Amino acid sequence: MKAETLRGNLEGMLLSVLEPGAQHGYAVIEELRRRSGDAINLPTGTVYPALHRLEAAGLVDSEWITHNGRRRRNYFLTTAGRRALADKRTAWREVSSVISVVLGGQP
Amino acid sequence: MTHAAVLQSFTDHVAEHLVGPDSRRSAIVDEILDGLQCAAEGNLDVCDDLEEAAQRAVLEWGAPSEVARAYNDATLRISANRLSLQAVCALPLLAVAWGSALLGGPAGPWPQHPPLLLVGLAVVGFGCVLSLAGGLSGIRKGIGFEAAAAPRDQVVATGTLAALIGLLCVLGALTLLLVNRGVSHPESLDWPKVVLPATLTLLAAGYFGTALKRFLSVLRGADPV
Repeated sequence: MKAETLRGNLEGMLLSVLEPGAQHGYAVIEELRRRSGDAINLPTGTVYPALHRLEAAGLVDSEWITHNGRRRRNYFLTTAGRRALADKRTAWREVSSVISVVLGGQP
Repeated sequence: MTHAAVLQSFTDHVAEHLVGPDSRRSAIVDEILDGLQCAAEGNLDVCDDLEEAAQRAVLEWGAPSEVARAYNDATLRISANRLSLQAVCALPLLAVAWGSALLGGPAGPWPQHPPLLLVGLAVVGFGCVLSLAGGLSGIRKGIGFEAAAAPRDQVVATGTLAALIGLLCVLGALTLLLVNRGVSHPESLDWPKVVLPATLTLLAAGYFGTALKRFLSVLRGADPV
């Protein structure tokens, strides 16, 4: 699945992946891939700037930790990020149910 | 080429296209290098060679110019939000400083408002409206989830430019009005009271003038590469 297809939704999925706890960027990409059954396999260079934008918007925060003797950056949700994720989920459920009904041809 | 050199070469290429202050560019380069190292470590599961793992990590990141463009959009948005907020906050501060200095001092020396004063006040009014409208629209579009998820929004950049230009109009007009009254009727000003707002105005003019110049350079550099 291409990044353009996910435009506007990638950030919500990133928030969802970070919901259980702090993760480094590459782990976020791996989790995105795993949850989507390999359907979402974005270039790393798309995901890191998206995390960066979420951090700039105050929805994600980050910290440098030491892992196996190397500094590594971990990302985690802020309170505003959790709230944005809940809003995004509600909005998505409404939109997807309406689109499913229309596209699915149900009466 | 060692694996470290492969990763460094990629970050150097991205860094060439990055805009913004040195500290911010350096933080972005650190972030990219960290991401590349994580990707290279992940690739060691499928290939034993360090250099090949690094090459694969670089390929996973995509074109350096595209990576830089994505980061530049974030830099532009952060810079725009900060400047819009500063411009919007500066206006009430100036109003309070000038209001207390002029209303508490002697009355104006003219029986009727001269044309220059009316023009100056009109420019101040226009600048206030332009700055507030631009700054608030830029802030509204530049924060929150929608801003983070949307591609670059022209309203953010134009709103910030309007906020800065409007504020500079206000600062310029205030300075000219003060100079005009100070030279033509120096006795009509309570100078000790005027010193504070005048200093504030000159400092703000210097700060926001430089900020506008820097913002324009970020805007030019953040164009699609």
